Amino acid sequence: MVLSCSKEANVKLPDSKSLPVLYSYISPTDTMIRLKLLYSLPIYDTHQMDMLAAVSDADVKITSAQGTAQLLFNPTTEYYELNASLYPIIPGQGYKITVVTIKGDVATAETEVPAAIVPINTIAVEAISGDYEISDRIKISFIDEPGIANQYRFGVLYSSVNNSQTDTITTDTYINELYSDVNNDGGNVSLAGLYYQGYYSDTASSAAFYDIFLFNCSPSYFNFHKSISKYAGEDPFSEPALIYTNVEGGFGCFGAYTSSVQRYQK
Amino acid sequence: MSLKVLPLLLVLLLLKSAQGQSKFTISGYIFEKGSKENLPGVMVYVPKLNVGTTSNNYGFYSITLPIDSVEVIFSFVGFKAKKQKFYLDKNISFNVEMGAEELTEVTITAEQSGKISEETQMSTIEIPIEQIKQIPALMGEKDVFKVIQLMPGVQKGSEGNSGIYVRGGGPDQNLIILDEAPVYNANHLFGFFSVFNGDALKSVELIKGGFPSRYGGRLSSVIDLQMKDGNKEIIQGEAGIGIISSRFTLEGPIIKNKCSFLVSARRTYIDALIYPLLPQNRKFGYYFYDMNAKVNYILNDKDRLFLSGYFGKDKFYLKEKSIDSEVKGGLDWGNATSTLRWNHLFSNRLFSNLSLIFTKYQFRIKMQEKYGSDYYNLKYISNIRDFGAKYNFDFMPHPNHYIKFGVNSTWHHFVPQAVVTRSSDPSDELNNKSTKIDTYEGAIFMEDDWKITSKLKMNVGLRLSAFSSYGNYFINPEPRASLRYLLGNDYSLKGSYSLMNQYLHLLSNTGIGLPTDLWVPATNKIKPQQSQQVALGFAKDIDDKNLTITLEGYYKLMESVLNYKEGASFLDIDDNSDVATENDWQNKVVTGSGLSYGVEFLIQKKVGKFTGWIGYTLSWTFLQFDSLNFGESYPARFDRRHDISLVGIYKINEHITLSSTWVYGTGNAITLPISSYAVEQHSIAGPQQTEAGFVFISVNEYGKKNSFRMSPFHRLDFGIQFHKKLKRCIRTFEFSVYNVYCRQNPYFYYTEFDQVSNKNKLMQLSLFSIMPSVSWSYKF
Repeated sequence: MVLSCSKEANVKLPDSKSLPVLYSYISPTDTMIRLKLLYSLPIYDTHQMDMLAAVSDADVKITSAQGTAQLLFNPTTEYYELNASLYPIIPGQGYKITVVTIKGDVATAETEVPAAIVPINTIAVEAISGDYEISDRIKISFIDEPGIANQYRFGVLYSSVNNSQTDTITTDTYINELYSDVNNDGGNVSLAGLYYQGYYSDTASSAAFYDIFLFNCSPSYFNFHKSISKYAGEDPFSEPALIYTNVEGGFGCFGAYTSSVQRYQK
Repeated sequence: MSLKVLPLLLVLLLLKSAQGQSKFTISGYIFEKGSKENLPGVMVYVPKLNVGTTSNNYGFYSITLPIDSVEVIFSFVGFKAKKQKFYLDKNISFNVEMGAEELTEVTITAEQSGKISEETQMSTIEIPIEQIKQIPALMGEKDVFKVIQLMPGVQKGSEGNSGIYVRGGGPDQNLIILDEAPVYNANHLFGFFSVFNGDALKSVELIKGGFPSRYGGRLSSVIDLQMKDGNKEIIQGEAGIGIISSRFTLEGPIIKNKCSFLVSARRTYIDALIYPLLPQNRKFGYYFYDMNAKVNYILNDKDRLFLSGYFGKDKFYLKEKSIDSEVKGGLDWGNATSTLRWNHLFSNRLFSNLSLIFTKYQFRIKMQEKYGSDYYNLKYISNIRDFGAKYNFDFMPHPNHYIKFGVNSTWHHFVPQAVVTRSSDPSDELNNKSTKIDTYEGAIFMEDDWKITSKLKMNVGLRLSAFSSYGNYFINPEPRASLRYLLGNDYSLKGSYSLMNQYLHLLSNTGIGLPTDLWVPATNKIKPQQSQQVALGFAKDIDDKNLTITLEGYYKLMESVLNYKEGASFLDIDDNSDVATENDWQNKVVTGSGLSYGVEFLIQKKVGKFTGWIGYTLSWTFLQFDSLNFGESYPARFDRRHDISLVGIYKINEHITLSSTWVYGTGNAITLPISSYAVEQHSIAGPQQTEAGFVFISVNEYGKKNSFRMSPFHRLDFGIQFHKKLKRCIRTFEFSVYNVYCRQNPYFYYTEFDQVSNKNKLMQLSLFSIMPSVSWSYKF
């Protein structure tokens, strides 16, 4: 039926070149300012690069009202780093990252650290039992900071000591709820996520607890993670998801957040 | 005062005023000589008084004139005009029989043919059925929609596709009605053919703007198809054999001149041909069929009944068996419609039609897999079913007024998606009974085609539409107006405004009318779509050359149009779907706005040895959704800057007809990946590890949405028909060539890695290079 033929398209290909990709998420509570630097791969170019290869020879600077400081490449972690004690991240302050690579590519990004730490008001953990497995539904509530646009991220870490071991093992629950206060400024907000713990037989542990985080995020942090959550890859039936970036001259995200955390003992 | 009472009061007032002026009415039905098929759209003209009217969809006309001796001309394109003298001293009932024109070129006088410059209605195109049968088509399958695509203001979807995109609107925004019943999915074979069999059709009308208030429920167009009633005098039939399907039509009287029937059916047979060639343990195939049937009965001079139906289905199936496994399943989709209509004449000026309507569209996927003792069953169903009633009136109190009013109501029952899986592994089981929705849609309308002066005529109307869904009620007034001002004897200026509401949405990932598209209702979260359109135009008739020329500009705003969210799709079942709320589909969609504007030019020749048209459209279409493309406006996929259609049909003599079409369109706007890169999300557990423990995803960078243009589309088709009169029938042999110069138009693009050059290449897949086809048809 389909008498099709395929050939190389005779069209002007979209302009593309390899560009810097940077990721940096700063917070007043972090002890280190970190930046990951990679390069993008043009789709229609020769495959000579590894998209995971960290770029180690760039000039990376952070600028704010405090002045400018340099982040240095740490070959062990493969991040550009700067100790936050030397350059504190201050709530409510704007920051700019400037990256100049050895090839001469310049990438810049700006973000502003949210001024407030928004506390978690209530935590509820409900065990949900299926026929064979067990899950916890973790729910928090908080009051949105009124008068300004806010974006939040709710995340949970699970820690436990397995009965046969003595070390505390911490795992990410991959609860990642993103929330924007559009249409609910100053309101009471509830967010919930489900942590699947596994089959009954696997759950023998003691001293388990959850560390529950509420991040008050910059718009760039929120928009980037939101767009990643919608990304569906190459599914032909899906609307292509565009990935947000606030990086001029490249891709990635320079975001900021303030964090409040509470521990819930199971 | 209740709005329902208003039209009745107006009718009574106009009736009274008309009766008080010593006027009399000539009325009756107009039908085709030989078949007694009712003829809609026939012009009824009184030159002496410079007044006229047209026959309605059922062939009924009525014209009220003062006491006098008058000559009335009945004219219709393709038929010999008929003149009749009357002395009006009483009401006259006069049925008109019209015969087809001879094949030879004839001179048509200005009065003999309906003049486009005189019509109030703009943005409306009648598609002559005979031309549909003469225009070359893909694989010889004559297709109404492919011909509609050749009209200005209508964009084609992609190669071979029947999708209709009118003035920037999507395929969901077309009200496709077959004998008053809406058809929800008008595509066979994933859109390569439409479901309408030209042999069963009497008339096709496309309205792109300036919508009369009797139409509503969609934003962008009305495609009104009328089935033939069936020959009332003799048994007649037509059979055709093509390379992918065969068709058969039979019509004739049940009671001569009183009751007739029509049955028309079509089926593809590629599945039957390849079935014996397939191995015994692996069978698969595809077919579609459709069937039209109609019966009509003239009860008496005032009452007529019509019962018509359409049934069509596409099916793809697969069966595979091995020693320890068995897989069988497939997908099917189809429409069923039926309409029962009762025409009643309350008086010689008041015509009514009551329609009871049923329509259903269903899409199903079924899959059963067995591996030893393990099994997995999947059923997916999506459907929409309507029961509706319409009661419409045509009231013709005066030659300067043609009033239409009516009421309609529809009960929509939706199952946007129901998924059931059963498996030997209980964790795979799913019973998503989530979405059965009942909604109600209704409207009352009134319009008047009002001749204000000899130069100025307008069609003004109001439609009040209402919809209830999930306990939410929407009521919207929809003002409509079209205006014509004669600048000279044969040219006029036209303008129109229409506000439309659409209470049903179609969720589509591809926009090409796949059966996977879901119909869903407006809700309190997903508001009804609304459009406002203004159009200005110029129309000219060149009588001595039988040419009509129209030039129209339009500007259309659309609100609350729907799209899937980024990353969402029809089979995207969320994790909690086994306890899903009734509204889960609402979480997959976003609403936004659309803007389309452009200019359309059409020069058309409908009669004579040489017929055809030239159409050109210059247009822009943009969409904007807050959560797509970062809120920025972007060109719609079918935003097409230039669109050209050339159509020519030449009857060399009564034995040979040549035809050819050439189309050109700017390439579709699509989103292509430009580059890819690794993503590092912020981890609350600490910085990501590199190399061995690196947790990342790779994403594509697309640039701005729909920022890439596919190659322009163009294609030349050619056909030749040989007609031969045999003893008992007329045989037509057709040879046609689709894509004569073998243009490789891109159907879609994909990326392929080339080992030699060590880089990705952008590849295009093209369908249908040069495609010759032959077909035979016999008319007896």
